[in-house]
Amino acid sequence: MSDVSIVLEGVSKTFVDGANRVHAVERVDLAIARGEFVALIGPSGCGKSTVLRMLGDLESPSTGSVTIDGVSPGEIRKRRQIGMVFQEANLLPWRSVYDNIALPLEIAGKSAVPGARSIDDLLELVGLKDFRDALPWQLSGGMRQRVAIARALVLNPKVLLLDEPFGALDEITRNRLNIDLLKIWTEVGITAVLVTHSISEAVLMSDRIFVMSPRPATITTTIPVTLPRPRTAQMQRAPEFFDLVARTGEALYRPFETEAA
Amino acid sequence: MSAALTLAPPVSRRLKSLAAILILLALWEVAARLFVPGVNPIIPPPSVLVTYVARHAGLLLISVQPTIVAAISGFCIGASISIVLAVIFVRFPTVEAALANSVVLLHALPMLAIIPLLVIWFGIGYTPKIIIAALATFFPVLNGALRGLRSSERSTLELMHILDAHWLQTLTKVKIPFALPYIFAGLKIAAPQAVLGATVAEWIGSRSGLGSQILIALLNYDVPLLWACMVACALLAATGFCLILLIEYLVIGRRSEPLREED
Amino acid sequence: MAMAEIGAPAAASRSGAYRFALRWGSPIFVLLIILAWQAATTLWQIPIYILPKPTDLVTGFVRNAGMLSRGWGITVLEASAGFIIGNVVSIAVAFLVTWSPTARAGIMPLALAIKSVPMVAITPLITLMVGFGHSTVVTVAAVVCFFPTLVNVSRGLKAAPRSQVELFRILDANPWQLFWKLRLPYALPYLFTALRITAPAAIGGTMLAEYVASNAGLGYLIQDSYTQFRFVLVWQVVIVATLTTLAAYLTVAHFERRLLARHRK
Ligand SMILES: Nc1ncnc2c1ncn2[C@@H]1O[C@H](COP(=O)(O)OP(=O)(O)OP(=O)(O)O)[C@@H](O)[C@H]1O
Ligand SMILES: [Mg+2]
Repeated sequence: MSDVSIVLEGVSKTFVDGANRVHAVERVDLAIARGEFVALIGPSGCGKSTVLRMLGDLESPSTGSVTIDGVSPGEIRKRRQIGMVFQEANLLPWRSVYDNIALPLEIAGKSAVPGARSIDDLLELVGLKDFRDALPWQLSGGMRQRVAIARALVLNPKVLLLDEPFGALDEITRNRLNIDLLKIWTEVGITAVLVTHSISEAVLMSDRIFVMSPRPATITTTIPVTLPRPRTAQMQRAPEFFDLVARTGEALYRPFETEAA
Repeated sequence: MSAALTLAPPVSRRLKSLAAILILLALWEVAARLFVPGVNPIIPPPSVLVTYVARHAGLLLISVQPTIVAAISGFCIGASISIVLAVIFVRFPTVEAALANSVVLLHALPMLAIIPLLVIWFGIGYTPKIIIAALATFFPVLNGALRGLRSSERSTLELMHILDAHWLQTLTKVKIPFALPYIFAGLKIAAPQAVLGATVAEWIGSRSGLGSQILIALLNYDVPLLWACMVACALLAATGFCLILLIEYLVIGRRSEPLREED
Repeated sequence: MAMAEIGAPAAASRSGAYRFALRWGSPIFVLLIILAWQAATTLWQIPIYILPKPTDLVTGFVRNAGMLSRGWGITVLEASAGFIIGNVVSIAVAFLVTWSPTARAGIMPLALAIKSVPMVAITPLITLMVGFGHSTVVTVAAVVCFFPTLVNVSRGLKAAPRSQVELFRILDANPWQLFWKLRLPYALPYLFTALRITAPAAIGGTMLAEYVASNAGLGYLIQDSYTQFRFVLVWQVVIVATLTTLAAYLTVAHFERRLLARHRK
């Protein structure tokens, strides 16, 4: 078994809508190791979500190939080894916290899921033990997002795809949730891909940052994050952290600065 | 304290509406007695109507019964067919594309005009009424169900895709629950329509029921009977509406923060 | 409203088969039904009073053309008059209840109460009050149009979001500007919803009233031909009335699409 989990080779994506063609992603190559936490960062509308959605088999590449553990995302999806968290928690409003987390188990059929986690353990992990029977409207935005994370993990997937999971939350909540997410990630040891707009979030969370150019998106720079793990909130005030933020920012803004010059 | 504050406006508004209706009734009583005198006035005062209805309650109950049976049967048949059809349409968009315009054409059929044809085929009796009530129910419910089945959040559907859910699982666990408020909205429009359909059908296709009673009243110039039928008809329609409202509350319960009543 | 959602599936499914079905599905479907109808009636020699052959209907059209076109003309005139009167009055009342809370408290409960009375019950009463003839028919058509428009337009006049209204207040817009630039654009979709409901409903109401209270028009023709056992004529009225209703609906929908498309962009 190799150490590489996710591989993209020469992946391009063009959306065709009648006469309109949107060239969203252009020849992206990347390899993500098993258990690695990577971040995709880039200007709005560049194609980050598109890359993530191709990993989740929600889109298929126009050219190139995507593999996860050597097989196609579609195959991984059929094995139910993908967990995904969207920007909005999209909990089913008529189900309790517990039942929302149980949804993937119901879909898979309980008997057919050997590696499934216990929902009570997950509730403990995301810190919502006391809200087991609450309905989504009784939770704050941050709590809802925790439920969504628990739901993504319940089938014990191989990869966790996060599309701006805390993008709709305030910075204080987001920071706390990020630290919690890192704890969960350490505990479950899963390959995680995070799409974000926030440079400091990318630095705090990931082992490597892929900086993408404006559309059509390619990966312009890969920044290894050398901060030690486990990461803490205090690290965000360390000089190395600022240095990484500055380097990422420079890579991110470079296309716009050359344009202006 | 805050609950009392939030409850205050709707209650007072309801009281105001109630007061408005009572005042109107009183005005009607006075105006009818002053301006529309005579033994058999076209607009009888409410008090006369109430005594009339009390005296002829038996007759009214007898004529209401067949209408209720026809309306309820038609309603159930029409609603079931349209919900099944909506599911088929949403599952197979090509089928919808092929049939959509034909369905609209069917909707443009004037109810009144097809009653004679139904009577020719099925004879005088329940069948034409039930078919008309079903037709009247069909379109509002189909419309609501289609809108509702398409109302699921996209990311929730994507989640189901990632979980490799069977379409039946997506239907029962996501699409139908999301569609319920819309389906009930359609049912609420349809319930009075079913009463209307059954009553119209009785004009032509029946010798019993509220509809034929209305025609008899018109032909005999029996004004109080006509008014009584009208009130009965309205009550039937309103009861149907309220029943659906009740069922909706029981089925859907509370999914979101309890709304403070506005408007 | 009832037809609003039918035929509007997700954009994602526009495959070749889908587009073909959308374009040709209904013509083929209708053609198949007519062919099957003709074949069945010919094959099993179904008597004309149970189900006339399509060819009987067509040849009969020529014979009944005068009667049908006269009835059609009257129904269309009455329905149009009722549609216009009902909607104009209703829009005026909608303005009234939007601007005056007192009027709202007095009128809306009553309107909702009357709205729940089916037209079958109101039509005979209007007949008694207004008398036999055209004016009753027009009144019924107008009453049919009144309530859906009142409910929709009064909702539409309040549809502009509060933040936008506040923006206008900050810009010190006068009431006139507030109405033309904000309230009206927000109300238009509601108005068109109302018109889409009331245009076919006006025709239905007209025929209903003609059936009991008139001796002209398509509604009367149904009653007359049915009682005289002229079943081919009944069928022809059904066809004419259906096409007319459809045309009324499509006309409103067409204007709606053109006007509101510009609004959205
Ligand atoms: N289904 C689609 N059809 C057509 N164009 C699409 C589709 N999905 C995405 N696009 C286009 O592809 C481009 C990239 O979209 P994508 O959602 O991947 O951007 P993003 O980087 O995630 O943006 P953001 O940071 O704002 O979320 C955009 O220009 C978008 O308009
Ligand atoms: Mg995105």
